[in-house]
Amino acid sequence: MSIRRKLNILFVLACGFLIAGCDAFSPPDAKFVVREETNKLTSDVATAVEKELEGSFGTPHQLVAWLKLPVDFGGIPGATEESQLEGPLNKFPVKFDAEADGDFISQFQTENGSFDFGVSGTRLDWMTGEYSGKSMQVIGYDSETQLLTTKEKVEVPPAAGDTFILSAGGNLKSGRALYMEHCLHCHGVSGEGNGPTAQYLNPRPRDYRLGQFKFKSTKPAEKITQDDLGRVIKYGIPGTYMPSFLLLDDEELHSIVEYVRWLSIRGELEYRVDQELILASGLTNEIISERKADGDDAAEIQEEVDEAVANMPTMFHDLGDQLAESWVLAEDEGSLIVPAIPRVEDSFESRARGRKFFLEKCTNCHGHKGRGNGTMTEDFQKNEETGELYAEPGLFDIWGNPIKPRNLTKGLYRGGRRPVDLYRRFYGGIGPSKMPNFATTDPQTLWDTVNYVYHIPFEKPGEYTEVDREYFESKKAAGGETTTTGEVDESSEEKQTAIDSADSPNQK
Amino acid sequence: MRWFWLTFFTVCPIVAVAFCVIAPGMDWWFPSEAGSPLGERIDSLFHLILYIVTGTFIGTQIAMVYVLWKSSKKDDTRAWFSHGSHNLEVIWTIVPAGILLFIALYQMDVWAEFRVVSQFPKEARKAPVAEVMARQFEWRIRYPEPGRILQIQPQPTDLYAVNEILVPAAKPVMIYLKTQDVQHSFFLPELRVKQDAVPGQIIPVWFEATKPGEYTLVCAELCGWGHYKMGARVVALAEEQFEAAMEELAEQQSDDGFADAGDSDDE
Repeated sequence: MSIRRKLNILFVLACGFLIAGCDAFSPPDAKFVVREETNKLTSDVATAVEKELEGSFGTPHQLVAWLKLPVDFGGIPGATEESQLEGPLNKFPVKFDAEADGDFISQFQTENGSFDFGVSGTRLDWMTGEYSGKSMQVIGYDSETQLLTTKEKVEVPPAAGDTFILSAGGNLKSGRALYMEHCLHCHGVSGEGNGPTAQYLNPRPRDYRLGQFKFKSTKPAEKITQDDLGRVIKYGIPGTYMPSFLLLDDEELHSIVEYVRWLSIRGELEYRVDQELILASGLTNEIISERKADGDDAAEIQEEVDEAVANMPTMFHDLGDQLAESWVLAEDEGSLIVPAIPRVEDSFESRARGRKFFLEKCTNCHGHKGRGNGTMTEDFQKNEETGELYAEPGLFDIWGNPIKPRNLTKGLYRGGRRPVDLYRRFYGGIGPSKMPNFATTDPQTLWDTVNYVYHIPFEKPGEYTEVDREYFESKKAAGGETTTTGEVDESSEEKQTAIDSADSPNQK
Repeated sequence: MRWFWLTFFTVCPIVAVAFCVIAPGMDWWFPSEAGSPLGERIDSLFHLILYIVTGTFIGTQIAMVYVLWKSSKKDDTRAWFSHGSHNLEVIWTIVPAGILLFIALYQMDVWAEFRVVSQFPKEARKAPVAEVMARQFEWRIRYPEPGRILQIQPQPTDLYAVNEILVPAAKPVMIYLKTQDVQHSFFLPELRVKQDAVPGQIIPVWFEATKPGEYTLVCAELCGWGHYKMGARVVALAEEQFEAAMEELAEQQSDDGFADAGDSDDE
């Protein structure tokens, strides 16, 4: 064999290995993760849940727009116009809805005025008329004659007034593309907060699947708004690994926000369905096998399972409606926390009042000096889900991750550093991290506390000694004069001592 | 075959030189025009080196082609071996050393102006515009309140931003560069500025954007898995616009949310 031939063989082999190697290292297929709770369900029910989820949301490769959800899926609605053209043709005049016209221009018109629908065209779905339910590929548009060109030629042109949607779900799809590029490696394919880089991070990336977010501008019970999510993505969260994505333009930002909201709704829906099936119906493998062991009729149990499976679409429908409503409500003006009075002017008096409120309400977690080292961080806390104490001392968020109360001497505010951000943090609390809300506290006190908290990093030693002395003296006096105030019930004395002993380690 | 190789080795350097000559005009591989006066001077240093290298290249190629053609004639002249020639070695040590020494001395004032704080333009040194804190994986900016001087220690009135540095245009400005975690590098390609951010150090960096506009800021030191996320921008604004922008930032920062029920953020 000649050298040249040997080299040729070697070359072919190398190419073969290269191609095979590339395939072997290609990333695993993107899949939405199934919740642990779903896996606990008995197999028939779990399959039904997964099937229904896929029907309503699709897969990462094949998104489904469940139109009842208040998410901007994207798509440009339009209708056909009266046409003189005949015979097999692929051109017909159209008119886009007034609001969508601008979207159409901005999405498809190129800089030189022509229209670009991509290499393989853009999908058009017919909503009514002859072609209702069918789709075509749009490959051109003439802005003068308003003629849309499709790849397919049809014998019968669509009748005037037939409606269609161009590029349906375009927004969600571009959101997906951006999410895959920028967010997935921490937040995971289904927003479970467990992407490949998540393990290196503290605090852990957010798991969207409970529909809960920390830094929102809405009242405690409400969902987060689009603006809040946009702010977090745009400016990041200082003090965490969430970086700023300031360079994304508004359209891209909007797509990501909508995709995150969609993932969040998907996740919460699965969670709520699981909760109902487990807590109300008890359809887990564990409970069923226990029941069988106890001698329950197997046929009866199977009947329950069948009923749950048959009932699944209705359940998704109802819970979907509920969730949709709550996300719509979040955008309502009434859900926003708006301070009832403007910020109280920053002065020592105001800060001293804030300091007193701080001593009363905040020191258990944030510590006497605001260093985030209150007694709660040393105590064993109760897990509200299981009702047992956590294995480790300290605070935990609703995702079960250990958390620390903010060290306020650093001047680092994760939820934003504008006065209104701090006010909203106090007023609305941080539900997921169990920071209580102070919605019922009067706004002036909240503003005083904002002024005080702003000033903690710049506090001089002993600045508030007098204020503290006054506070504890009045506290003691109040403790001694419980009978004269007349508004304290019998348990007050006991409560008082409890508070005192909880505070004492901080007073050293 | 002999003629093929002779022509080949003659044409190659000619083509190379021709490409070099037309490349800048075609905007092929030269960096785009420098956006700052110092950047222009840095570019002129690059050009100087380019001229020296081009001159050397042309000279050596001419010599090589000459030798090639001359020795391709079939005559009985014996080859002369230069190996071990003391004179030649002295020459080719001294000439490049001289060139290098010249470059080293010639670039010194540009280097000093770029890196030595006492050589920075006075007006930049007097009033640093911002502290830029690099962290994994973003740039956090701290400005002094309009009308105040930036302090090393954070002040209650400071303004904060992320991934966007506002600076006045056509005026030398200085920033303090810091890093919160690992090494990063503050790289403004259009302004020809690149400075590492080193943990524990506050490094003054100055630059001047000749024209108002947006300039790319990237991290040029592999700083971790999210290194690619550290894209940001420097926005140079005309003096009045810069002041207005800072006032606006101050206003946004003191938003108490009372007046605007709709929370009309810069969303």
